[in-house]
Amino acid sequence: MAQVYGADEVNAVVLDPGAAWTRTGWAGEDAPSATVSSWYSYMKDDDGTISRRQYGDDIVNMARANVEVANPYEDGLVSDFEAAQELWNVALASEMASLEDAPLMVTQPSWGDSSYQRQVMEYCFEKTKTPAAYLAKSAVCSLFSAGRGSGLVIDAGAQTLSITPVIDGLVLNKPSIRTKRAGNYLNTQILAALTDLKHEIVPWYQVSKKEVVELGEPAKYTKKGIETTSSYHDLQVQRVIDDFKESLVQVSGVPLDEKTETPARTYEFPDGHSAEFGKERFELGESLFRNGSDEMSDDSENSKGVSQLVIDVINNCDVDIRANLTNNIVITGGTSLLQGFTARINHDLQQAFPALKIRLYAPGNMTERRNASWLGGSILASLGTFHQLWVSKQEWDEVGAEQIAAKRFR
Amino acid sequence: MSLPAVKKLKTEVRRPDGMQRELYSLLGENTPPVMVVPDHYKGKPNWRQKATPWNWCPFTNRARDDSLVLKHWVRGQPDTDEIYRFAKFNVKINVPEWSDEDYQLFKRDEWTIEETRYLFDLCREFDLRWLVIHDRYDYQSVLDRRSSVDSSVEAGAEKSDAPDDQIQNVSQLRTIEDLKSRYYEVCSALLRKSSYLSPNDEELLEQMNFSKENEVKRKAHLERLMSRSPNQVAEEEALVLECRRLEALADQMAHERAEIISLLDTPAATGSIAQYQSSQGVTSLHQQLLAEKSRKPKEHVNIVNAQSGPAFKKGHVDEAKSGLAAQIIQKRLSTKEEAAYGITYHEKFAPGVYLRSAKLTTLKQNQASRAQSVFNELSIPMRPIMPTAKVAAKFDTLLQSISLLLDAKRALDKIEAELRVSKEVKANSGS
Repeated sequence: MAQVYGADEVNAVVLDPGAAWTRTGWAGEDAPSATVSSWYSYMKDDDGTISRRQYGDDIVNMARANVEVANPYEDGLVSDFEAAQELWNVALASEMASLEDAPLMVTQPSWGDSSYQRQVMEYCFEKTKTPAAYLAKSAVCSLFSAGRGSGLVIDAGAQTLSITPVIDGLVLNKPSIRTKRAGNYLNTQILAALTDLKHEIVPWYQVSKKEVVELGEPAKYTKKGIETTSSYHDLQVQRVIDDFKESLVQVSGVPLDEKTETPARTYEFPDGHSAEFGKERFELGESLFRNGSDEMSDDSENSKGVSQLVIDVINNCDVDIRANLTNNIVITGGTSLLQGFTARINHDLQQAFPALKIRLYAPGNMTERRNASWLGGSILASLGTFHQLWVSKQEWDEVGAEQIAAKRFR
Repeated sequence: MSLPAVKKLKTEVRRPDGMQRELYSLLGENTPPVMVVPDHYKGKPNWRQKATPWNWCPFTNRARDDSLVLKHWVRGQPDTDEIYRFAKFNVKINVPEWSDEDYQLFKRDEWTIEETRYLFDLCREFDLRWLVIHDRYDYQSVLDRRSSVDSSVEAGAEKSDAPDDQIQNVSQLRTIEDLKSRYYEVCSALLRKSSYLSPNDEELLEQMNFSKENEVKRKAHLERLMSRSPNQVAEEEALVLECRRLEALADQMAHERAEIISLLDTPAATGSIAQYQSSQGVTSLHQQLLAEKSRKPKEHVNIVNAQSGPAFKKGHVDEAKSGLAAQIIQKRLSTKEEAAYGITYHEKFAPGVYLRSAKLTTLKQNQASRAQSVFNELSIPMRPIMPTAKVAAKFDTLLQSISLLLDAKRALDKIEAELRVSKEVKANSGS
């Protein structure tokens, strides 16, 4: 019976670091036990050195003077390992003690190179006491969470949107594409659009009292007199934009043109003034899908819309697997929760590949959509057949960091 | 006293209007199920038995090269000698090994021995998943790394000759077919090397026949197939459907034809004809047939005689009568006479005896009820009381005209209703 079941718990811990959120939990469970914001706050000493990094979204969002906020990720990868390691320690706090005899699985984007892999593995073996560790590609994990071994993964995150073909649990690196047109890009677009429309964004922390005003009337509010750093203020503005994005921005089901219906919705900003948005809602959503953006036209990958990139990736793959890929498309990541996102991709793909069957897998459950790569890692790390793949401490010491990355995770 | 009870039993609940008969028949008294249900409770479970404990035990995995000890849950006492049960799934594809001497067998200008080794290493690592092998294939970086090492070790060696450059360029552009054909070329050369081939190896060698051209052609074809426009796809689907329909029609035709032929066919001989194949046999058959021929009329006569034996007199009268009737028929009668004698001419007779009333036209279910009301209006019974030939014929024409009339009335009703609707629509749109 156990063979049919295929799982064998070894109490592994799964760490899924992302640019917006860092997720940790026990393998074999269906949702991470801790989801920590990847932002942290810090203070600078007089001599300019960073001190007192603090983690956790309640601390980060607290308005304090002279406290900066930062994010240790760039392009989906860790750029500041010192901060990231502290962040992971915080995220793993409840599991840390058990790591002495529990293996640790860390997900990584498929574009993380061997030096990146080496640094993450160093964290696993030097900062924790884990007996074994493994780096799993997050695209593969997302695919596993959908119960598939081969397919195409569209991961729309905060910093990057990646499109990755996977065959038998192995990423095809050459046709994979990633673009900066993801959540944060959309945020900059929204900010630009709102500034054009003369909407001043006052974050929540600055509002101490506000009055109800009619639609379109200027805001009546009392400002809190708190001196904050610009990085903190920017993050808080981004949070308002996130809220705006989540509640208003929509992707049109067909490419947007003059005739498309754009029903309007109202949005109330934190300072109390509200406005109606119709066409703008859809144009902002369209900015992810429109080909040839003006400001990013220097980069060929960033100048194409999401659908076009997916089409390119499929066309770059061997003709034998294209049908398999289009039949197993897994959409994941927080940005994919935009209204109409999956429907639009479905529409565009159907136009591009009339001869192929297009089947998208995008869980309606928000937790599953946002945590797909963690969930896949949880499934993978609890499989009986997987336990032969862990890189043990012994192997790490004997073979050496350079060789491990080149041999085990290529 | 018992009378009311009996009465109560007999009064059945009338079927409510609108309820289907099938549904109604399912209702009614609940008959007990056929299954026998023992009328005692489930026995008390034996709680005394101790539950088998699950233990958190260390284990080693045979599929691993090192001795990593992880822990998992085991039911009952752990068996230390037990092989980890998932280790058996660690299956590797057997990629052949070869030495430098073997290389002479499959030496090629466009492949170096190092690159061939590199290819085989990748094949081994990725278990012949060609798409992945092709994806990870980056011999250029291996060359670069080596040349940098070379240059640092022996700077004056000057290894980068012209052919080496050429090979580098080629290796960058290796397609998946190039890799496959090289691999199978090497494998088949290694197989051929041995003087004796087992049948298994022969089969393997047969499978190693990789035609690069065919593969490229196949892929080009597949690509064309996938790049069809939506119209083409729709047209093709329609054609396939049409084709299916025609095929089904042809099948049906063939089936019907086979049926007709089987009807026309003479019955097949049941016995064996072996005994008639010799000349002797033919002679005996001939005599047998002759005998049968001579016997048959005799039998017939006998039967007639036997029949006419006891009722000879009556038969005689019949004969005389039938003679008279024949004479009359032969005389060619006028219609009046025919009617008088009750003579009718039929093209075909249905076998058996039947009532004339049974041959009256019957209307369709939905028409019959409406026809009924028409008959009621005319105060004519639904079935003629005396269905003589004349009455039956008249009744038939009446029925037909009633049905025609009803059809016409229905059509009229429909058109009137449509007219009314469109008038209303027009009126609404006007206002």
